[in-house]
Amino acid sequence: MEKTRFRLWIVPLLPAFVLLGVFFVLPAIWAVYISFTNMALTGPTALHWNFVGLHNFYQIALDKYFWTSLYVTLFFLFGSIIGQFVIGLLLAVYLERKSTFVRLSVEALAIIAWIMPEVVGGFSWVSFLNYPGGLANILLSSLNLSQSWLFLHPLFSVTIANIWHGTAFSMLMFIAALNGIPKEVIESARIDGASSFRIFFNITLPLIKISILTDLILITLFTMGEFTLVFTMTGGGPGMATNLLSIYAYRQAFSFYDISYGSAISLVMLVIGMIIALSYVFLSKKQQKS
Amino acid sequence: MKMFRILVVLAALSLFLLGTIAIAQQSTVLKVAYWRQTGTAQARAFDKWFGEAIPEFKALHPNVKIETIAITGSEGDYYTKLALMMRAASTAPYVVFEDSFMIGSDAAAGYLLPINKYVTHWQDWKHFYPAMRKITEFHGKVYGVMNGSDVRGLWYNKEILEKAGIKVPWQPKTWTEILNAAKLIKEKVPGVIPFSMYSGVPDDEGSTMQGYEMLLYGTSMGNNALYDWKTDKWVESSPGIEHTLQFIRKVFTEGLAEPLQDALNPQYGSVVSQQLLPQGKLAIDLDGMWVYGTWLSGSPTPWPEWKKVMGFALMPTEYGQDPGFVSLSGGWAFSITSHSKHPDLAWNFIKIASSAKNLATFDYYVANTAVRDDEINYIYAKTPLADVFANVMKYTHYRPAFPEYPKISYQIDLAMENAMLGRPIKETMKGYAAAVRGIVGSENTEILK
Repeated sequence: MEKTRFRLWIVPLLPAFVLLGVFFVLPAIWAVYISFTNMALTGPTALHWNFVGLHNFYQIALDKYFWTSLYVTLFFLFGSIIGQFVIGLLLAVYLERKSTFVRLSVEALAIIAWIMPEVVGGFSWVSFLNYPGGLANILLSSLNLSQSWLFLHPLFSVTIANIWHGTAFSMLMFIAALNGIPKEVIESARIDGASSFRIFFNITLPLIKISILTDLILITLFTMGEFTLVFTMTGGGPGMATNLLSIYAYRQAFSFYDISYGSAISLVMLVIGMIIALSYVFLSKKQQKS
Repeated sequence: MKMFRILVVLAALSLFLLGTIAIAQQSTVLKVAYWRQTGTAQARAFDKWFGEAIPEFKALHPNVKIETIAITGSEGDYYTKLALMMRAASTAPYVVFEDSFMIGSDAAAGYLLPINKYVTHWQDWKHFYPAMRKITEFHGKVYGVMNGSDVRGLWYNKEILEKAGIKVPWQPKTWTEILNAAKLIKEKVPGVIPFSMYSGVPDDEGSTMQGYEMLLYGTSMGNNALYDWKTDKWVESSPGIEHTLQFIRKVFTEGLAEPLQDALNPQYGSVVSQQLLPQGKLAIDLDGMWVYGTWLSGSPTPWPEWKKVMGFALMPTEYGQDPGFVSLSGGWAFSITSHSKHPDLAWNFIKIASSAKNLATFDYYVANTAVRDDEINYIYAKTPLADVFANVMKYTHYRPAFPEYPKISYQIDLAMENAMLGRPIKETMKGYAAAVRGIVGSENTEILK
């Protein structure tokens, strides 16, 4: 009986497993493998490549452009995390007590930004920030802040664009989490005379801790892999100012045809993303114990 | 019931037979891959060219089907796609359309078939200009037949120059004369960008070739300015590099060129040809000869008056030293892949497509310069300024098309950006030298004094 149930369980999932295996797991293993080779897309090592051990990783350590890209990525990552997390949470809390009309309108606007294809979003931001004449600069000209944002503050601009793009995800996550808090808990706290501030920090936040953790992990992984929005807006420039690691890996693999070096960079990216994500879990466990 | 079974078997059998006959008839498919810039003059040129060449081929080989594989997207993505296709026998096209600067890399990769045995027996080969036969050679073997070439120089707006008091036709003899003209325009014709050149990372190799190299090869380092052909080493540092970067720094920091945020816009190339020049907002443009293709009728932005308004001057060497002028040339070629199942048929297709008449059609519509001396007998004769461009060919240089070139080109673009932003030239040069050593190894670089 147990056995047949197992078999039945696997049947509907089989196509998904096969597809994921062929199009996701195998290429991922392949990418890990070629990071230890000198394979290129053209040139002498295109078809006759060799196993070079850790050579690519050694090169990465010496590559000053890698370190610049890492700095850019970390700024972009933490800027996006803080922005998306804080704004998402504030929106969720704010909308909780609003009328259905306000709630639906704000949610719809945020979700449109989220589901909009990144290429479209990127181009919209380029025209929004256009100097002179873009809407942002028209609005800011009264404050004397009109300037070429993508040229003078490129990293700041793309981070803001990414916060705009991703906030809806955190918001939806927190709306669901807040709905899961029993009303009685909040009400009894209020009857006991707790301020809204205190209720939020001492009751609401601890109760949605799992959602916060999931949200942080997912935002981190999404943002580490972010490519399209920034590539459309700046192409990684000017200079290296918005050259995320993902763009750097792409450039190495597909502009310089050095696919093994590009793969090695993405492997390093994966490790960095995992370290950050795991550190959240570690911190939350530690906090739980104390 | 039995009858039904027999019918089914017969039906299946006849289907099978029909299938085999169909397969036998279409046994040979010749796959030709090319880059298609949809919606531009380039796409139209391909339609005209293949529209003539393919029927000619079919008349000789009625059993061979030609499958053209049009790959759209950016130029960089096209090479990536092509490289991925050529890796495996099952996906490799038989004939590929490649930029001459990729041929060395792809030949080294083993993707391409040497075609010496074909071209030596080909009557028409002698009609190709010597430089055009040489450009597809790698380690002494020929890997492609050129379809068209190009030259670069200075497009200028005669009306604006006259307003600034500069006599037309204008032909500067030194870099200083260009700078002086630009300063004069800035002073006398406000609201107009005096001078424009491709510069920085967003325009990729376009910045390197149309911008940096047009200056660098005009310094006293000459043809060995980027890669020293006498010693087979890359030049990591030279006075030529210094002067080139100084020129770039000067035009961008002294307001003689377009504003930085425009120059670093990846679409700037089309902004120049489709907007700034036709609208009379740009005076002098260091660019490719093909720019006029945008203004022909049937193109995205037709501009019938361009012949009256625009002039084309040769780019002078730095001090006017011999040979006096400079240009860079590239161009695309047809090659046969090493996985090609029918190299003889592939060659026959290339031969027909590369006849004087067929290349003349392509080069006329795509706004190329001719690669054969007899294209002028056909529609190519209608190419505007054909004699001017043919004259520029005398001064032209070719890029060192080695596998490392794309990486070095990126470093050049970064160095250009530093110069545009007004950063110290000495430091930029140090960074460039270190990067070149990192790419090719310090044993393969040298310093020219």
